[in-house]
Amino acid sequence: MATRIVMGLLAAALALGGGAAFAGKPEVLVQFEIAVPAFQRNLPQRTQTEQAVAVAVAAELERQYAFAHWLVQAPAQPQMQLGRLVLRMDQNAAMQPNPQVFVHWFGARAGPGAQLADLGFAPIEIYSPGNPNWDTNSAADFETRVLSKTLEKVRTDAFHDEFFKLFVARLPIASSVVPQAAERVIEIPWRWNEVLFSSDTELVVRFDKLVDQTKQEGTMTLGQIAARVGPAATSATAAEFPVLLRGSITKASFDARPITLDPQNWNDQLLQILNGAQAFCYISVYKPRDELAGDSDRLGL
Amino acid sequence: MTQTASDYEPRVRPGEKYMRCHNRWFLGALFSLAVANIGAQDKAAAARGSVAEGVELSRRAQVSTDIVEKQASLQQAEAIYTNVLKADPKQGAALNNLAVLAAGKGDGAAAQQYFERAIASDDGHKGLYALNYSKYLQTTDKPAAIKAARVAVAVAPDSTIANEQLGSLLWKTNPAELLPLADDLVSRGHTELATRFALKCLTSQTRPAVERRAWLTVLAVRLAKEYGLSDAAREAVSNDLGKVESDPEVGRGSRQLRAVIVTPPQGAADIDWWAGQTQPALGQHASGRSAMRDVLLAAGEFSSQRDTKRAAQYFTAAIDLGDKGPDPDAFLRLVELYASAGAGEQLAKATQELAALMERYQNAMFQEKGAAYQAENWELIYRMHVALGMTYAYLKAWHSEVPYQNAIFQLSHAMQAADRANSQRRDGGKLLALPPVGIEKLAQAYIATGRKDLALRARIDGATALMKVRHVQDSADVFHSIPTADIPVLDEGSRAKYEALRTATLM
Repeated sequence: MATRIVMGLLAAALALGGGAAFAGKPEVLVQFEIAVPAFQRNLPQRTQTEQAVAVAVAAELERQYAFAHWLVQAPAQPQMQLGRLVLRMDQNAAMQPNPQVFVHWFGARAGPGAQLADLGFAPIEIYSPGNPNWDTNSAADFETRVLSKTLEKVRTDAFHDEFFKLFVARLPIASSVVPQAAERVIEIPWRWNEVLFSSDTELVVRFDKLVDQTKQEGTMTLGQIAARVGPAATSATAAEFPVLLRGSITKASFDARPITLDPQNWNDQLLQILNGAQAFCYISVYKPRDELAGDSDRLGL
Repeated sequence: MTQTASDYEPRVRPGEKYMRCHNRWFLGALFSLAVANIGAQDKAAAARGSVAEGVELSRRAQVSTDIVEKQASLQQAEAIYTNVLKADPKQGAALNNLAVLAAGKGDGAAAQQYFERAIASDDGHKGLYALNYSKYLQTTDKPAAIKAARVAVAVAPDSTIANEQLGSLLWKTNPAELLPLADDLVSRGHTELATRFALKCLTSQTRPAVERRAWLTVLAVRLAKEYGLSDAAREAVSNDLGKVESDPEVGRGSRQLRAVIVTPPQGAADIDWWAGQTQPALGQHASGRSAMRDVLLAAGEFSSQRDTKRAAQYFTAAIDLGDKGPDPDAFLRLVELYASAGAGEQLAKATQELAALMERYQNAMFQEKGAAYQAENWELIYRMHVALGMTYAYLKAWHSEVPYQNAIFQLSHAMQAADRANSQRRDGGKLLALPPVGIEKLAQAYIATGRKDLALRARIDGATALMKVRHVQDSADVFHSIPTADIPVLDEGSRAKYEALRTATLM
């Protein structure tokens, strides 16, 4: 799945021309599943209700993690999908006669063979143990109950931190990066204006390559995330890719040894080190762009 | 540098770098020439492109150390914005950017005029313009700066920058007004910023005692919201509380709140600081007492998934923090927790716990229910009857000397209360009916007291009520539990209901 890091400006231009930059945002699939037998059996319009809950949760996650589209339908272009999030409503059958009903969180990165795994979140209680008043008769009441209980938690800073750590940070947002040696930056094939990062966001690129038949690994931390078009870009490339995501390397290592960076956050050996490597890029510190931060048209004070 | 218009003309497109010239008048003419030759949509696009280029020039000026270059860039940017306004006097971005440049030059009158025009342009970026205006005014006219910041927050309530700006201004002018802002932030989940404000006020000895107690309540409200989310969330609040533990006014409250994060209260003394905060202070939504109660409920809910004994301790402590007498929600949670104790030894122990609970609280709970009857709050009455009825059923209290201290009285009244609640239901209200487990307990109670006929009627009435509120499958389950041998003894009314149920369950 990983693609090769492309070297140098010329190679970069080739990679970009070959469609390495994505139009639109990355996407995450959100699903809600009812696994409680009484609700599976009795809840009217179950499929539509599952869909409606997923839509509401996805909308809230999109508000918080605007770098991606959170969708309830698998994207038409599979390469746009970063991963899958599943909220499963289950019960603790040990508590009788009315078990506790809760929502559990599962996730998987995109790609063949990726298995859903419990994210490790504390379950969100929907019906307390012993509460016999389940909304199995009304899709509307059920939806209201599930969403009020779930979104109350989802709309907190503590949830954002935990969700980022347990899910978002584990999704590779790109499987190719382009070192731009002339400008001393690493370029990620997403458009700046679509991912809505603030410059305080940090990305980490994990890469590996075979050296003398031995797999060696390295990482690069990227900071100063910004929209940049270098002066060397031709008008054609600038028009086509006006604002790709780029970051300066703030820390790097390869084969367990640190890579020394010059004052421009670069090391001339990087191109050689990265040559032929496979790379994945992750978000390590997520800072969304504030909606009132200045933009390319508006100055801030 | 000598260039002609034709050198630039093809490049007058958004996002492109078309300008390397230092002649502002030439640029203005160039823009006019360009817009004169294109349509309305293209004009807007051309204006946006020009504004973006102006921003680029302004930013270049910001970082330049060459004064001549800096001045030239700023002049070029100003010329671009001015010419954009000639084509469209309401172009918000150009107005804002001119205001920023005027502010940089110290031209207050122009800055004010441009900012106000930008805000009035209503181009979808009002919040940003208002925020800039607020920052511009913050040293010269704080009330106006606050007003502008409030506009920014109203437009973009989730903007951290806008809320920080408003909070900072309020702290400098009237810190008491910071409290409602933090309250609002917590209620919408922006707990980190609210906590920052809280710690600022709590660690400042200049604020009055009542205000500082209210700020501690903000931290309790946050804890209640985030308790069950993660270890990190609980640790974060615990660390924050540690910063004010030695404070003479709020230190005891802080220590008590910090302690309950880890350990359920063992007695009233462990939470007495909070129990005494009975009224919401300074326009807050929650009193300290109710905030602590919510923390205990959240801790109990979290614990109920892994340690029911610990959960019971939290719920028990919460019961005693009711607004008037025992808290019905906490009482219900505890009853429900005991009622789900499973079987065998656990159930026997839970039964003892339930008996002790009822012994301690039943009088007060009946008073609570009496108040609900007076207010005709049928949903609450229903919940109370269900909780009490199920409790008596688990205790096998089928009859009693005092008429209402038994399962039959409570569960049959629960059915009636559900009926009343449904008849008074407003839009959005839930339809209620005693669930199958409650109907079964009521039937058991009647059988245990030798009234098989009433057990039969309870099942038919229960199934009918469930059918009415569209719990179709539940209704069918109850219907199928009716022994067919008993049908011939039914009275006419019950037989009619039985037949209706039979027809409905066949459909």
